[in-house]
Amino acid sequence: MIPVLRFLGGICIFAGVFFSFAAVVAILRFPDVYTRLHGGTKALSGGAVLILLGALPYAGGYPGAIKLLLIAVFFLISNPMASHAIARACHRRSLAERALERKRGERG
Amino acid sequence: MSEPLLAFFYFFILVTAFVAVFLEDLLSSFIALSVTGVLMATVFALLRAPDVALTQAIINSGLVTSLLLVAYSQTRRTPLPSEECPECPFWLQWPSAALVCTLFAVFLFRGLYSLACVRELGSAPAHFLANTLEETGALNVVAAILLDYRAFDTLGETTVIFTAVSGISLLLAGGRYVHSGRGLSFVVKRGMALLTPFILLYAASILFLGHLTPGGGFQGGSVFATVAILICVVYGTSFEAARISPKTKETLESGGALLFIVVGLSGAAWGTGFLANLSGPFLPGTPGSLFSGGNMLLLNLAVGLKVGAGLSSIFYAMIKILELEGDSWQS
Repeated sequence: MIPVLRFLGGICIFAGVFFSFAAVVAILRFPDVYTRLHGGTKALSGGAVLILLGALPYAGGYPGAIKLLLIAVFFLISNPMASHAIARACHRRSLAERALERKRGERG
Repeated sequence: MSEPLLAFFYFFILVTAFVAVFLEDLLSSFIALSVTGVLMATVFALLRAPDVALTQAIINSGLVTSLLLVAYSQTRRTPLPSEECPECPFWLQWPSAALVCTLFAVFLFRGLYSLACVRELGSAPAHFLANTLEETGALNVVAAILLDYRAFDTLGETTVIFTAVSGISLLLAGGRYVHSGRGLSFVVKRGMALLTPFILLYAASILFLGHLTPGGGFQGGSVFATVAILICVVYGTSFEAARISPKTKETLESGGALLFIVVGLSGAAWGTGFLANLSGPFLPGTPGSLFSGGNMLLLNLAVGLKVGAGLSSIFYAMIKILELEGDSWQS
């Protein structure tokens, strides 16, 4: 039972690392605020939560595993909230219309 | 001890410190600085110093970043080019920053080298590790040193915070309060309402179990201050001021200082000296239970009251200035 669970945990951790990597690429490559936010949210929602779930079989007993689950639930509540606040602030200040590419051109 | 892992973390701490110094954009510098803080907290946890790790994580990546952000919204986005700043000589700019970073690197890796050697405890650490439980009744040796052996120093540290709060309030308050700030959107307010009780419970557990587990008054008070700051940002300052008025915070802060001094004086009244713990009027209790370690629970409560009320009133004074000059903070 335990080796099977550990194998599944390993798969989860790999998927989480993939999500985090994809989020980094998205933040670096996407053109404007909203798409970057869309990509960056995946780093926590997909990446960190999957990594925490994958770490469950390695936590060594129920107390550690329950702590990890609680941290995952906390991430799932707080991360969409933060992204929503950032997106709303950008919308209000109409940062979104000004494409980041143009800003780069002005500065460089 | 895992030296390769530590060396890996040290490398990234140095990289983020360099990035924070050499970035043009102040906002990016703050983010790099908070990443440095999180990595430092991880290193402290790896070095088995959970008390310091907790402080580092809360203060450096939570409180300091939010205070810097408030200060940042008052300043210019990018610093002036170097030729427009004649009073700042050349050697004070990047060469001195690079020197500081290099010294930091040298000391970090020197510490790694001495970790790899065989270590022997000096006489004072050996005494603390061997005799703390019977001399103070506390399981957490760090809390015992802070609140029993060196309690007078802790009183001085809380006075430092008191001075900082007084100075910032004097400089920034201006005496009047403007009702403004509608806060963030409905979704964020509901989510915050869902999370606040759990954060408060966590803060209370850090504060009241400080003599048993890692944590204590300073860390617990900082988490309480973080809750006040989050409420300030999410619901708007007028809501925060209506729930916990600045007067209440002042009362709580002074009450913390007063409690500390009363506990100290009760030892003096017993005839054993200022801040005497077990030799004074306090009982050791059963080790591991909540009411153990003599006056440590009371002193943790006093420090927590002081730090929590002090830090949140610093943030409140700073954010109030922002709202006086147009409603620029709120989105």
